[in-house]
Amino acid sequence: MLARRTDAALSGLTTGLLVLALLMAVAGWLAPSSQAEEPPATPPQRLRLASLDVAADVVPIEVSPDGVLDPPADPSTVGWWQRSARPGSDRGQTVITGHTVHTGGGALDPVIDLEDGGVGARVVLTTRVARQVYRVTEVLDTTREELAERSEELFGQDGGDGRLVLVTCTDWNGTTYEKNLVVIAEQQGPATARRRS
Amino acid sequence: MPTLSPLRSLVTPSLAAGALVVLSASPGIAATTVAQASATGLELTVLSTPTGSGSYTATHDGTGETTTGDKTPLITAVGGQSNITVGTIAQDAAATVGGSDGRDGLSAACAGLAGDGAIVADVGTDQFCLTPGNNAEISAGTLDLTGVTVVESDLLAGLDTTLQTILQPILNAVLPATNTALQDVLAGIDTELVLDLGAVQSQCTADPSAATGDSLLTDASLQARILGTDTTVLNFPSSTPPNTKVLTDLDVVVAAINDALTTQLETSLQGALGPIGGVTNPLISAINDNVIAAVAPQLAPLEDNVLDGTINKQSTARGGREITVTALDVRTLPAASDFVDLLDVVIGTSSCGVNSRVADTDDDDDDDTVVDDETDDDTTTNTNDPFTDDEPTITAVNSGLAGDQGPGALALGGLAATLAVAGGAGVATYRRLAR
Repeated sequence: MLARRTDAALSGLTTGLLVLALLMAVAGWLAPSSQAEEPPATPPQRLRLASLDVAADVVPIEVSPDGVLDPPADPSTVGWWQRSARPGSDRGQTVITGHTVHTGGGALDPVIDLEDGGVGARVVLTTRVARQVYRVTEVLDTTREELAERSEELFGQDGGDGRLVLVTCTDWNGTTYEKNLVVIAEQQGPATARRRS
Repeated sequence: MPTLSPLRSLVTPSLAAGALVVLSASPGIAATTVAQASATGLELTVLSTPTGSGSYTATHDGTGETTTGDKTPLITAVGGQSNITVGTIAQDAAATVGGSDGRDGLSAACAGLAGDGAIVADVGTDQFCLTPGNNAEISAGTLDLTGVTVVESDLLAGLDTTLQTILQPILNAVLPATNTALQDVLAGIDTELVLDLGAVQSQCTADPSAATGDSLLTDASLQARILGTDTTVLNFPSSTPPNTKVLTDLDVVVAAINDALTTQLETSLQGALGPIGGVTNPLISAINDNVIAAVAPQLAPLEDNVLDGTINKQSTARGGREITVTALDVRTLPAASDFVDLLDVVIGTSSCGVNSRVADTDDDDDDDTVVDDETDDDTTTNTNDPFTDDEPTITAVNSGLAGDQGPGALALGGLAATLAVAGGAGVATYRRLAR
């Protein structure tokens, strides 16, 4: 008797949610935003790489005086180099880094999978007001020396077209990570404004 | 006879190519240092008072090289000390622009010390600049043993009392003189620590992405000069990995002091105790043993690490784009301060970087007024630090963590346990309500 009552309640709840979702979708389609202009470029707040089930909050970080960029201490978040381009910018490069944790729990642990056929993967950065979509165009496996040599190319802000440079570590040797994994992703169209709820 | 190094030979064409770029873009380039290096041949700190050969520095601002200092200062320029009086100091540095597009800041330095007759070459890429001639000597201090004392009563410790009674009249006459002689012997053991060096030198090079360096020690050793005779305490290896520590105990010196004491005492006591005849040798031997036993603990600091040395001392900064290499750094440890003056000898320090690239003129298409202001500002402040620019450079990303810094397995286990307990409690409650 109790089981029957529970089933009925769950069924009602599911139906209600489906109806609500449909209503919201129809309303959004019928009343789209009238703002055609691009939203302002503001710092990223959320990173999503759906194909790898990566989703992490983004916090601003700064490079140390000796040129080292450390991700946030909380490995479940990623860091945006606050001197780099904001999502939607048409110059510079948006530099984001996050931890890969040997035993799991790092925001970018699954990113290593991009090394094998990751080109084309979709990456989304969300800011307070906008959403920028990128597509992965290149996945680089670099030694620390190579990274330093290519510093200007990968992190320089003088040139560039607002692409995303996502950096984490790879090549665990039992003690430390020997290499960096650098994912380059190009913007797919302009940033779009986030709908206000 | 100076030789032309590879870097030097590249300087002229590189400068020419660089100058073309720079001249064509002069309105857009701020006078920021793009290459830098410095060299210091010798630094001595005697009793906390530093002296040295000074430094030779070279900087390049994208338009030309500026140098300061003396490349080959005389040993006599190292004032306020008497530890080294003869030798050849080399300290050279060069800064230029080059690379595939002529915009890379490049620098090199070499510094070191050799004896007279050494050949000094210009600084070059991955090249040392000193070819040894005669060896140079640096006195690292003279051992002062006057503080070592032997109490008279110690001399007869352990001797057979009957024998002591029989010999008492003679010993009473001999021992005071023996003790005095001992102090004279200790004071007279002239022991000097000497760094004997063929050539000791370091070199480094840097470009915008990295800086590297190395050291080379040729025929370098630490000698203990005891009563005019050299005993090798340590031979320094010629080429070592960076930051190789050498620990220098003076047990060989202690052994030599003991030998000298034994010899001197035997001579002294043989004369005084000769009339005793057959018991002389055991007696002298016993007294000798007692003397050594009394002296040994006082010399113990010499048997520990007296000199702290580092060969090929290297430190890097700015993600490896800046390096300082010191060929040999030897200092007296405070534990030995009872015997030797505190001394710090630093030979051959070369520094290279941090370098950058001459500004890209393609990106400097702002109006000239702003650029001129930047140039003036830089001239005034003479900044050479790229980090004073608006955009610092990333040269490393530390984005890997070992598991212990991740979310703890313990915490996850705790959560699972809590859920299990909660689930169990829920099931129990459900069953209770269902009754």
